[in-house]
Amino acid sequence: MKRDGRNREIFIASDLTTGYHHRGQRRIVSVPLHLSLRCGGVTALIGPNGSGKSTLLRTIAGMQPALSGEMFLQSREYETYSVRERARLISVVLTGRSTPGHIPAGRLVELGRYPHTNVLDRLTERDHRVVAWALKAAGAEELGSRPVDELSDGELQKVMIARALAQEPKMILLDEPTAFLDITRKIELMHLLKTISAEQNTAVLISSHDLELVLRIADTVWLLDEEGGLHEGTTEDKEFSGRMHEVFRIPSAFSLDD
Amino acid sequence: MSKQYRFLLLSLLVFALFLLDIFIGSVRIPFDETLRILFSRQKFSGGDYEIWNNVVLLFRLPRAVTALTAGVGLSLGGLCMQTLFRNPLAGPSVLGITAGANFAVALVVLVLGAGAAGQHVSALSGHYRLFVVGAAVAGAGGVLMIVLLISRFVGSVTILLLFGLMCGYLANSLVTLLIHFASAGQLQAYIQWTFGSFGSTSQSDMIFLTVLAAVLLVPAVLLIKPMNAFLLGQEYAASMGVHVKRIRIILISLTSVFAGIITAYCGPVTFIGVAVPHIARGVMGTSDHRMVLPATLLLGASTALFADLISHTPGFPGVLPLNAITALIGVPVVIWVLARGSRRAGIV
Amino acid sequence: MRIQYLLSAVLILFCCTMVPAVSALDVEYAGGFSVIPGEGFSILKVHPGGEKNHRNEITYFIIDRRRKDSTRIRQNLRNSYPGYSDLHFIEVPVDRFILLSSTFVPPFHYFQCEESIAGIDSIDNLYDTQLKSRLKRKEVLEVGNGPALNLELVLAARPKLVMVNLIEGEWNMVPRLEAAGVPVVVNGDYLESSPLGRAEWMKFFGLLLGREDEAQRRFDLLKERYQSLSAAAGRTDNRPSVTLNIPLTGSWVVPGGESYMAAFLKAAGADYLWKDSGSSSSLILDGETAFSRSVAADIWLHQYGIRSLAELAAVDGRFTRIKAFRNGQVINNDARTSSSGSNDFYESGPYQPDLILADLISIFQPELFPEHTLYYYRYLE
Repeated sequence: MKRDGRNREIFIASDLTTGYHHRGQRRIVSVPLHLSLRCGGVTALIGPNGSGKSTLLRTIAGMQPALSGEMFLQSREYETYSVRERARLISVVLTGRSTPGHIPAGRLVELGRYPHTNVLDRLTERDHRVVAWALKAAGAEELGSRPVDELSDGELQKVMIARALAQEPKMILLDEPTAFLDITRKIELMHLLKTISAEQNTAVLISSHDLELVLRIADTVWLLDEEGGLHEGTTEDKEFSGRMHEVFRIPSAFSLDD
Repeated sequence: MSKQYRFLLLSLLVFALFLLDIFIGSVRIPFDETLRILFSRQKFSGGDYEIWNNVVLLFRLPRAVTALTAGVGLSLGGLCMQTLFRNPLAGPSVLGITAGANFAVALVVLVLGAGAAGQHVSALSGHYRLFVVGAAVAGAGGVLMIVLLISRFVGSVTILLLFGLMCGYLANSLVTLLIHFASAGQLQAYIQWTFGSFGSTSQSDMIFLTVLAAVLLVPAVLLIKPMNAFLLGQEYAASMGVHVKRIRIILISLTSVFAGIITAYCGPVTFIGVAVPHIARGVMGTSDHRMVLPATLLLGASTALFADLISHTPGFPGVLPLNAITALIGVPVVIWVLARGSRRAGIV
Repeated sequence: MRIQYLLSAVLILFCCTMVPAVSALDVEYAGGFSVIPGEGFSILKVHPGGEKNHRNEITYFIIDRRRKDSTRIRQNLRNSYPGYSDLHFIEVPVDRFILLSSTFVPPFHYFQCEESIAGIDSIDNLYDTQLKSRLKRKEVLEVGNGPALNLELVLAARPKLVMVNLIEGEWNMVPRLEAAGVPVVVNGDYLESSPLGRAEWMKFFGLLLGREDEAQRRFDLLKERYQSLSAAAGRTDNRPSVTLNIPLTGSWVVPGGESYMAAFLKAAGADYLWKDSGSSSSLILDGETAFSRSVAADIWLHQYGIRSLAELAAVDGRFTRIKAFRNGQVINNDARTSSSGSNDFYESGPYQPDLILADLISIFQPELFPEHTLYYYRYLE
């Protein structure tokens, strides 16, 4: 494990099995996995429908319990963190359009400061600066004063990313962040995430169906197959791209390579 | 109009309605006399003065205070439930708590309170009020325990909501059964109770309710932050550092305890819980609880005082059922909310 | 409506052609029923709400079954109204009753016809101890009332007559019973607003039990006693102010100025605080209105099931400010109550208005009858 600021491993999973309990039975989604995420790197989580991308992502986010194995955040086990401490390290952007009611976008981003403010939610000078920065970094500067229920899908997604940024996490997990956006927005967002990852030295994990786009920005790729196995690799790796073709059952006429 | 200005107006509204509720009632008392009774330390002797003194201090004041605290507590409960369940039609009775209280009271009045035609209550009626209050609290508490138990094991709020609904149906059908076997006199007493009333509290009850409401405000203020987090839903809230299960329990308990106690003292008071948070969001123009919560408290008090005022229309010696009036105020508001559409209404 | 005209025609016919039998049943005070004598039969009209009120009027032909020509009379009457399938005939004396109210029981004692009771609606609402023990021994059936009425039990008991109160809506048992083929008679006594009027319904029972003369005699004696008591009270100068009942959930329900209870209070020489309300129906008053008038009342009556002053104060502390409370003049009408909560004041009371009046006078004008012991009333301690 590297100790310097850049590129150190922020997250490690060992023997991780994800899944859930359904009617008293355990349903395993992923077989024992060994994973890690590095600061400053973008990891793409891909796989066919039903392969368990969301489950894995949520387990890493701490939103659902792992079935077995351990996860470490900054070398400490997940269980040793309080909910608040963990929120200062991990933030999420989930799929779907959330409808938080009638509040200004800036206020929504301010909610990202939750794990940093006191019980009365008093925002300090610093908090305001972080919020302003987050809006800018997410490309949502002009949206600050507009009510969220009047924003387009693309605009709202940027605001949600800004909120995730305002949490000042070391790791951002995004579950299908571009699902409902048009192509221009998709590209815009992917580039945004790449930039953020590099500039803020944040680990970014994106699960997505937009293979073309996500593979362009990914440093590492996690490929989940239908048996619950995970293959880790990079886009340059020929063998890996062969595996991708297999898993997705893509005819060789279509190439996923650059 | 700035937010502070709005708050000022709302506070003035509460103050004005509170005073009106004391000055106006079915017995005509001169304005200056009421002022004197409230603020001077003079002793009165005999005649009209003594009656007025009694009416203002023993009837009007407790009634106004009860209305105020009930309005505050019920509307706060409604806000908590609407935020927790992200459902604009939720209210303090959504978990079946008040239905549990109703059932317990029906049990006391319709079953234990025997009596032939012309009689309302029987041997236990000396402690009638105690029994009714106790039953309501026990009924509400019982359902609350079950709900909290289920909440521990169930992650989805939808399931909790459905459970509460089912509890409500069950309790109400049991009440129907009791009504079926009741005599006319018992039935009248029970129906009278279901009308709701702020007027059956004594001075000691009034003090208790005030203290309770004041105590309630402390956790309410502390809940503003997590309730704002809940605007994004439970998953996001958890990712932001909210102890979702803990907050859920607090919201449910706070709402239910207060709703149960109010039901015990005033009978079932409907609609204030559901309607007022929407009015608050509309008035403040935001879903942000930093503004919606205080606005809800002020508007809740105003609505309850207003309904109480109308139910004791001056000059008319009778009393209009409180719940009829709260519904008359509440229903147009709920319809207005739905008509505006869920986006503009400010809550999912 | 048509039947009314036709009946009058028949009456005139009979009266003109034959010597009418003199009826022992002249109804003077009760507005809810009237009896018209015929030759060999009587017409009993029940019109709760007064004679002019034809809305709920029901007509019964009363035929004495002991007469040898009873069948012929019945047939004649039938023939006079071809096409009317719903004529109500009652053959008296009726020897098998089901009573759907405990308030119907006392007259059966007065005429020694207890054995004629085969069924009652509920044992809990009953005060009468003799009937209660017969119920426990299963000599008499408990059949329920309202939506809980057990029609099968009623039918199995084969009553000659089922007596019901006239009530509107869901609790109106008449259509259900008639549909089941059970003979029904409606009793409207509780709608009477005068004490003598309500007591006069013993003549109604007398008619059905074949004891008209006895009923008349009994009522006449009662009337005399009542009126002399009332006159004695009227001669005094003392008019204590009286308030009634207690509030439940803030609202205070009191009888109207023209009601049954108000009539008693007037006859007993009291000043009922709402005597000027002008109607016989109850007033629903809000707490402060009722309190502000009651606070100066000399005497306070009828506190439902309350047993003591301490209990009364526990119900609502504000009661302690009422003058009657401070002077210990709080009197409840529950001296005769059973363990199940049934109150004889409402059961035998209506047929003994002289006793009620005597109680009230002894409370309001204590110097008049110092030896009187309270029968229905009881001072709360």
